[in-house]
Amino acid sequence: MIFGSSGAPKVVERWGMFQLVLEAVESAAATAPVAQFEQNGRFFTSRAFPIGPRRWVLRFMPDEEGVWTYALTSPTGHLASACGSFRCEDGTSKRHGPVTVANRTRFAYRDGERYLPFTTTLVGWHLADVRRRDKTLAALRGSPFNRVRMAVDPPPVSPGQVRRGGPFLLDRLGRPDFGRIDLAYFEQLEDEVTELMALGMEVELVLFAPGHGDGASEPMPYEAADSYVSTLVSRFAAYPAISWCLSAESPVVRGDPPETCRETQDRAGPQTDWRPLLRTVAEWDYGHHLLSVEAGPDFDFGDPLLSHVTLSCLEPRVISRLVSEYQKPVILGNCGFEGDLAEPTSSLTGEALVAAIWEGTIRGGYVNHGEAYSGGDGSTWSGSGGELRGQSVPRVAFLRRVLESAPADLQYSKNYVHASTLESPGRYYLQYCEKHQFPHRTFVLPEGVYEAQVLDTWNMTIETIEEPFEGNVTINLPVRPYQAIQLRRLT
Amino acid sequence: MTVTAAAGDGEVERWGVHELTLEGPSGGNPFLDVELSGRYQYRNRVVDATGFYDDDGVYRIRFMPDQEGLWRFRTTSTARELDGLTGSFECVAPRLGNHGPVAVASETAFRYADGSPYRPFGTTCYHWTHELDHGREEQTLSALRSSAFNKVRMCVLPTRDLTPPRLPFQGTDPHGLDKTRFDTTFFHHLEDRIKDLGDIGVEADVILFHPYDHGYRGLDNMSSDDDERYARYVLARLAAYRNVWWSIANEYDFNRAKTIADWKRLLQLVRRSDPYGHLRSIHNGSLMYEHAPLFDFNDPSITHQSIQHWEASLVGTWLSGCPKPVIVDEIGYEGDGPRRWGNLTGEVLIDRFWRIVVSGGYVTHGECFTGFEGPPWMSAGGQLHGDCPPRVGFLRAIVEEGPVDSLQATRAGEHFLRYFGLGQPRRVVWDLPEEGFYQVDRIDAWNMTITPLGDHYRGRISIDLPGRPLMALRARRR
Repeated sequence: MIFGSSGAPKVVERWGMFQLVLEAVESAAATAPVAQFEQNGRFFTSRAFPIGPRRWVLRFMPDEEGVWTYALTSPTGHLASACGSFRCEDGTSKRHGPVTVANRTRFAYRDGERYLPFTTTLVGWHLADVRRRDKTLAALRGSPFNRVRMAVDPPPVSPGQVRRGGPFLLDRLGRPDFGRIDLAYFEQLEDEVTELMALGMEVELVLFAPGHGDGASEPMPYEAADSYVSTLVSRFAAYPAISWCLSAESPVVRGDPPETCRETQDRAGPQTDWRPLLRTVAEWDYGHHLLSVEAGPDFDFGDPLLSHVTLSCLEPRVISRLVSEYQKPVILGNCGFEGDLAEPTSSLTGEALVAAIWEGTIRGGYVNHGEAYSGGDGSTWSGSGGELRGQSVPRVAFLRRVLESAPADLQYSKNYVHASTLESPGRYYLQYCEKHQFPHRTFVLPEGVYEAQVLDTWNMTIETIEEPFEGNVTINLPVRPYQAIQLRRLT
Repeated sequence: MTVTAAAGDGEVERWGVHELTLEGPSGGNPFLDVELSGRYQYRNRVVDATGFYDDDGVYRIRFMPDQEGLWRFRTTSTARELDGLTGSFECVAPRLGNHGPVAVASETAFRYADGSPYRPFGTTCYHWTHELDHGREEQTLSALRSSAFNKVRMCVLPTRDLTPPRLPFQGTDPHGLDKTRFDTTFFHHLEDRIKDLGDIGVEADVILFHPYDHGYRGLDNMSSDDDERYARYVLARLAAYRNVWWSIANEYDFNRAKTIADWKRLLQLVRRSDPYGHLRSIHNGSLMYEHAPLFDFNDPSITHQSIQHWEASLVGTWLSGCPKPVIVDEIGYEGDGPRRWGNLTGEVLIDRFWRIVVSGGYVTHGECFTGFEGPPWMSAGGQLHGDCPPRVGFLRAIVEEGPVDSLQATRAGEHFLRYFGLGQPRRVVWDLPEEGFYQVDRIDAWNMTITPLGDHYRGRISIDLPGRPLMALRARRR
């Protein structure tokens, strides 16, 4: 016998966690054991991740009710004695399941319910002290956000962070020792991630944050990256609310429009080839979670392993083109943060960020929120958490309410070139005027009786036009920026 | 239900083809009515491969495994008898000579999936498979085998001037073609030739559209539905062959029925429909001697710049405008034909080859001699008659002896290749770095000789040349 195992559960909730602790009783077994799970002719593979010397944890997330069997193979390929079965039952606590792509360009939970991501960026919140972490969680609880983007491997300690994060232990000179994974860091990271999930947050883990491989710190060798990625994925894939993003690039653009992207950065140096690591994630991710790479609009997002596009660009108008070209959901991962720091991408006004979030949403995508108001110690919300201070937050809540009461099958309309419009033709229209102060807007609609509302996206008011109408209509607008029009068919 | 694939005893080599043959409905028009795909799984990674109707009630799914180990599959179909079939196979190490598909390695380089370098030295045989002329096809393969060419540009659709026995579509030629039904005899033949090319290490740069129908069969101006169905069908059949590249169009800008937006849409469709991400580009027609913009190769769906241009001096311009490898897929052909594109001397074409290659690009060859039986090589293959093929082989050997990234090696002072073109200097002065010593060789690109001049060179040197064109010097740091 190669492995001893303990604690094998007999019943696991659907989308709950199966977990088994494995111990090598022979000192020779130093490689992570791998198990195959099967239910009804469907196969999944899970590799155990290390928790100490010759100790591993094997995890799995069953996605269907019924009887599951599993068999552990030793690293040499021989069947070990550890095999067994469990029953998966419908539970109450994990009702929705993981988020997946639905209708090609939208998201839904596995149980079919629509998922509209409202993401805030909290790169290194988990590295702050407990007081600040509690503040962060409290702020999230009262916020419109339902998704957090955070970095597993954030840049070296920044203001507000009290400890260093990263997948590897440090050597005596303070450099990452790429041969030794920091098991304690992963354990702590898991505690913090589960705190977010307890609030109902989806959690996007960014695996390689900027600041690495740029000369400022040592580039990670591929073997180390592969080992880090497979360890992380094997551990966290058991949580339904996880998604993966391999990189978070600064806006990098070359070539054609939009103009505002071009000036943000010079041509990038040699780009990382993400394909091998995308495969590593896909091979070990038994939960088939969302997987993306963040890059500028010139990146080829066509790889079928990328479930969606994560865009880095200051200009949300590019989203509609990318949705149409890739036929995938598009999340604008980073269009700059509301804040008052020195960099152009960290000093957007509330108006500018809210406008980007609205425009990107109406273009058929989703836009992440980020906040960079400098606290007394130079810390920011998106850097290390704390309190939300910006003007965007209530306006994101307003947008969320609007979208949640709209139909799910909204697409960007090609029929309205002067103001971006989301539509479910013949049922619902949502047009956004951004900075333009139109005195009125005209619509020619299919048959039916419609109700019209004028939305002030900055002042967060909704005014319903008294008379329902049929066919052609001209809606008068207050001559102010950031107006939107909502048309809904009544009969 | 578990099915057994018709692919030997359950083993497929890495980057080989796993082919699943199924029987299903034949009523109605299954090309239109039946959807079929296979979901292949290695560990938890899934790859979706589209299946296709192969006529007479036969359906196939072809899949190229890219990882050694156990692969499982499950089918999905709108036809009940094709749906939910499962099975598995073992993917084993590739056989000798199988390096996997070619991909872009850097701004100026390609490599095979196994990591070995690939440097395109292509040739052109646009319609070498269309006449189903077995003897001539054997000649073509034999000529390729004994040449240095490792890529062939070839078309799927016929030209107006061809009356081939089989076409990609069923129906009556020319006016009664049914764009919704494919001629599977045509495709089986095409596939066999692509496999033949793969067996001798030659990449097939498959051209999906071209403008040479001129309204005759209605192939230049098909509806976007017909274009997309045709492209999806070709991809479903061919994408699993590792040596395939996609050239969306030849001389796209001669086609007046399609816009740039149409080509971009087709590029995106090809990107989405190919689970393996084979190389993709599009080739321009006009502007052979003009210094004008070509297609916007910065489009992320394009992997490399497939250029037609007859000036050999612009590689640097193209590379600085777009960081993707440049292949000048047409630069004029060696021959004696009446058309401007087909009557260059061997000296002129070899000169263009050298100028492109020393500046970091790649060139595709073509030959158009008229005094022999049948159409010229660039149309229909056959035999090679020109002076270029051995000299392209000579150049390829020199390039392959050199560093993988020659531009980088030049920047680093490791390796220099200096070419003197059509000039005829008797002596040249060359400034080598002051550090280290260099082995210098005199190269005669036409007579295919390499003369070592010694390994003591550094700094400013003066070298005697024979006073004739097509000479080069090579300096390698000791």
